[in-house]
Amino acid sequence: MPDIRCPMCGKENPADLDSCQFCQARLKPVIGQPPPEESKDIPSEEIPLEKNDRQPDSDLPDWLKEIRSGEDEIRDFPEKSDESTEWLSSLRDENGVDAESEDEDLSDQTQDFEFPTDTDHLPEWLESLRSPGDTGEGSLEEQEEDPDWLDRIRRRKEEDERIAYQASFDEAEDRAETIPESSKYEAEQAEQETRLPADDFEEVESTFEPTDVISQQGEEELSESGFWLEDETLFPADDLDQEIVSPEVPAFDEDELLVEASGADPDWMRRLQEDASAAVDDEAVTRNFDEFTEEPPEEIDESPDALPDWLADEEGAPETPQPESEEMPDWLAESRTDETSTPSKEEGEQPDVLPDWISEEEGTTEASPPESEEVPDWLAESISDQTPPQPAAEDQSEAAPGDIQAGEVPDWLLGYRDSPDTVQSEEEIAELPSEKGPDLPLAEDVEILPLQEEELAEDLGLEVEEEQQLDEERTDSDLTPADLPAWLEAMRPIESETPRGRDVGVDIVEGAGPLAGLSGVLAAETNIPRSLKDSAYAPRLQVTTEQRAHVDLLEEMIAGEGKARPIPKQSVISPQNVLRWAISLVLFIAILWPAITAERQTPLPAISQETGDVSSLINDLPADARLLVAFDYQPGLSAEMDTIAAAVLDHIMLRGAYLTLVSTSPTGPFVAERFLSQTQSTHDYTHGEEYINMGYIPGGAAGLLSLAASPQRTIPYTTDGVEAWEVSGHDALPPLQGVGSLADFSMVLALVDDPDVARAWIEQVQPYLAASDAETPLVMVVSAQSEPLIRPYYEAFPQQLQGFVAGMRGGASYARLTGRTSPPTRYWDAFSAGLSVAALLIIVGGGVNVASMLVSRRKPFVDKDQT
Amino acid sequence: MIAPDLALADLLGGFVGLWLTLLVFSYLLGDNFLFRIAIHIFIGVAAGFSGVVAFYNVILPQLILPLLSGGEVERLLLLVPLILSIMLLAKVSPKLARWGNVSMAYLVGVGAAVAIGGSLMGTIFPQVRATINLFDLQAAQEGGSSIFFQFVNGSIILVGVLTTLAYFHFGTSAKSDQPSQRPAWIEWLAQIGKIFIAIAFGVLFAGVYSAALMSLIDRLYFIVDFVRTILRPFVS
Repeated sequence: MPDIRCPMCGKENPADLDSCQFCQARLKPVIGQPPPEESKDIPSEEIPLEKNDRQPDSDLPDWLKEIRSGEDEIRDFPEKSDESTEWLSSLRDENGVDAESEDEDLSDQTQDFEFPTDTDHLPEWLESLRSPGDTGEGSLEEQEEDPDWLDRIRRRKEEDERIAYQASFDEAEDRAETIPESSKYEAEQAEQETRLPADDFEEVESTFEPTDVISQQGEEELSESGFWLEDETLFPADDLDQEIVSPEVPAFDEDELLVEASGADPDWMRRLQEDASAAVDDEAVTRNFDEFTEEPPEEIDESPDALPDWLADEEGAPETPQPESEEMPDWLAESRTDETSTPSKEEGEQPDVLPDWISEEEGTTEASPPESEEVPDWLAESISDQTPPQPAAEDQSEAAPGDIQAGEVPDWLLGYRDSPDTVQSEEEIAELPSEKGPDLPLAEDVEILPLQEEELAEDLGLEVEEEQQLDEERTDSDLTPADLPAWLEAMRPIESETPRGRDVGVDIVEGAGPLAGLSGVLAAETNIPRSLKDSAYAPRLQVTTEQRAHVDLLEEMIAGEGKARPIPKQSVISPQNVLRWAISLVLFIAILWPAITAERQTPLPAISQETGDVSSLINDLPADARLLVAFDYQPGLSAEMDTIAAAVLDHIMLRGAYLTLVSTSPTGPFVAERFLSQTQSTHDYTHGEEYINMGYIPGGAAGLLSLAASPQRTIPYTTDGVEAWEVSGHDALPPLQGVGSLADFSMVLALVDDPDVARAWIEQVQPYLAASDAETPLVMVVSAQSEPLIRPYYEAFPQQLQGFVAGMRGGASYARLTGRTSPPTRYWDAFSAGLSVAALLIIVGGGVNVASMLVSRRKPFVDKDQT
Repeated sequence: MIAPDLALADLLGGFVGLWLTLLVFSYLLGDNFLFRIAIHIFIGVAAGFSGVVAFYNVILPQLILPLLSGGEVERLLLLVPLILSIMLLAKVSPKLARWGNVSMAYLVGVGAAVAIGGSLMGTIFPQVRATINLFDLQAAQEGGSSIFFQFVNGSIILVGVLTTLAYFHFGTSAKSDQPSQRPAWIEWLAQIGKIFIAIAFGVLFAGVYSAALMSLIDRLYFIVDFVRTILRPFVS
């Protein structure tokens, strides 16, 4: 079984394979189902159906029947067992093409496909495309592979139109020479990649309109639209010389297209170009014609003659006479020479790199977009004929190159329109399916997104600026705008405002991929439509009245948190105040009564053990004893401490002991002086003689430790600043004579009101005293509030405190021992009365509280009983 | 009219004392500005007096005079407290407060060491030994004390010490299904210790009341004596 040539890569594959083993393209096209409803319209999306699956011939339009009849003839392609390629085989047989030729591409074979040339079978709309005078027979192709039908098409073109296209083609060739190699290579690669298999032709066909210049996609399309392809103006015979290419070939690079088309343009396409008049408006065609800018995928002929005329026209510049290549058909060459003879405005200008339809999109922003020269005359005429007059001339002035002005119908198209065979009602034209979609905007309304533009530039290998520069260089072509036929004018997209967002398939021209060059396709990822940004508005939170009230309340609470609340003014006379006054009155009376009457009725308390020990120790003092007395109590408790200490100090001073006064409190020296002046004035102790005041010892417990360790360094001077200790050349003061440390003192007496201070004296000083051989006793006079905390030191064994006199009771008992009148005896009656009143008040108050508690507890029980 | 036998200073001092005493007694009517005046005067005078005493009795004779007239060695040694004192003054400024951290650290360290050492050597060890010695019946007999009373006294003290310590024991065993609480036997001891604590607090309160009562008695007697002294020329 002979091998099957892959339509994509062109390599031979075994016949039993469905997909190419090299590029995985499908070898055998998929035959689709016929539409459920009959339609006389040209179903451009359809692909050739299998003979057994298609509709009965009686239901088909005539042109389709004609095609199928041709298919039957060419279906007997001996090399292809697949039914879908039978028609192709038949074509080959008819044209004498060797089906087993491995060097021929499928596109070449497609070129051999002979469209039926019987004009009677052509639809009216297609026949209208024919220029007057066309006989339906194309001119002979210069190339050996031209089929007869294409030759007939070509012959229809007038020579003057060929010249015009030739001129534009020459210009395109010049531009093509500037195409960098990379862009050409990319184009070539794109062609190879985008070669569609046969089963994808249907998808490609959907992008085509009947009026579009046929793309060299495949034989299926050619077979479908073969009748209208008879029109040489549309499909020059020379176009068929070119290899069938896919529409995905990046068509943005105009020069690339020119190069590619140099050897690949189908003759029929060139034929169409020849028919266009030289004076067609060079405004760029609409993107409906973009599909015709496809180039052969493989062969990129760099020959300047390879540019199709229609493409050359889009460039808007007359082509310079190109040297004829081997592949250049005569008709094309003639057309080019004709074109060069026609002076054009763009002569000498550099050809634009981009095709017109691209430059259309770019040219909308330009100040004066040059008129396109690349618009085929036939198409320009058609558009101008069909579309209504432009509402404003500004639109026309801003039109991108290639746009066919309204009212401008190419001559060849005019011919078709006038001919009776080509008359077609507008209704029929309107019924024609549009592969593109509804109402495509005019080329002047087309915008190329910057990203798309950059993509195009990347494909072309050119900078955007260069493209813009090239676009600016385009000027009006010398082609006169052609009159568009009615049906074509009706199909012309209505001018509308360029949508902000990208509608699907309206302004998008695919720039890469298999659909490169096609317009009206779904936008790729990079061409995602810009979504309209919603107008910013502040969302409002709906708050009810109740919620607002709660919010206000919460705000007030929070705001008032930092504010000081005003203290409610209390009345002066209140139960608490009355009770306080009553208690105070009782106490005052109890205390003042003894003071007023001066009667002493309360006996003095008994002498306690600790008080007796103090008295014994004082009695055991030697004559001229040196005592260290510390006045460590606060002035606030001086009433109690003075009363208690007065009896003890009186006893000491009666013994004639020298006193060295110190204090760990700053007010201690002053308190000591006051005590001696008020309570011991009868003893006539003189400062510096019988006693000295060493002042304040800083540091608290640390000071006591320092005093115990080195008293000379701790208290070197008296309060008068006199050196008290014995130093070289100076004798010590009498209270400190023979004293070098604390152990040299006969006794240490601490007058303390605070239990912590008393504990500090015991903890810091007593160890030094106990360690000495003299075993200097430590005696304290403490306040009544410190007695519970000091007694353990006295009760301890060994004793840490050799005796203490605590509170008024101790003072009174010590006074009882000495038998001397002292302040404790004076205050004892008042003190006793005060204690009695306090005890009585505590008992009465407690009893009242208990009674009230009991009463309050009974009430709930009583209530429960009553209920 | 016989002039009071008081010196002028004493007379003025008496009047000031009387006036301040009455201001303090005005607290019986409630918190008022008169009482606050007296309190403010007392605080101010105490602070001022303490500052003067500290300077004249400590800083001047023990720092400034030795720096000016002392020997080289003494001067070098005194630089240390001088620098530390200046750094301590930096505590006044928030920005420079960290400069006084050295002095504060020295003070805190010395104070803590003295307190801890004194507590250990002066209170804890001797008191524990004393508690143990309460049951030294032989020594008590030699001292002439009754053994029975000594034993009972010791037992009460021992029970009081143990129960009071048990009251301040808050260690519990965690159980998943029961709330955390002390063991039952510790709870019983804590209740007994609460009694001893309450007695101790009662004694302390009595002592505080005694001291305050003495202050009240002294003030009332002062008022009576001063008024009597002032009025004596007018009465006699």
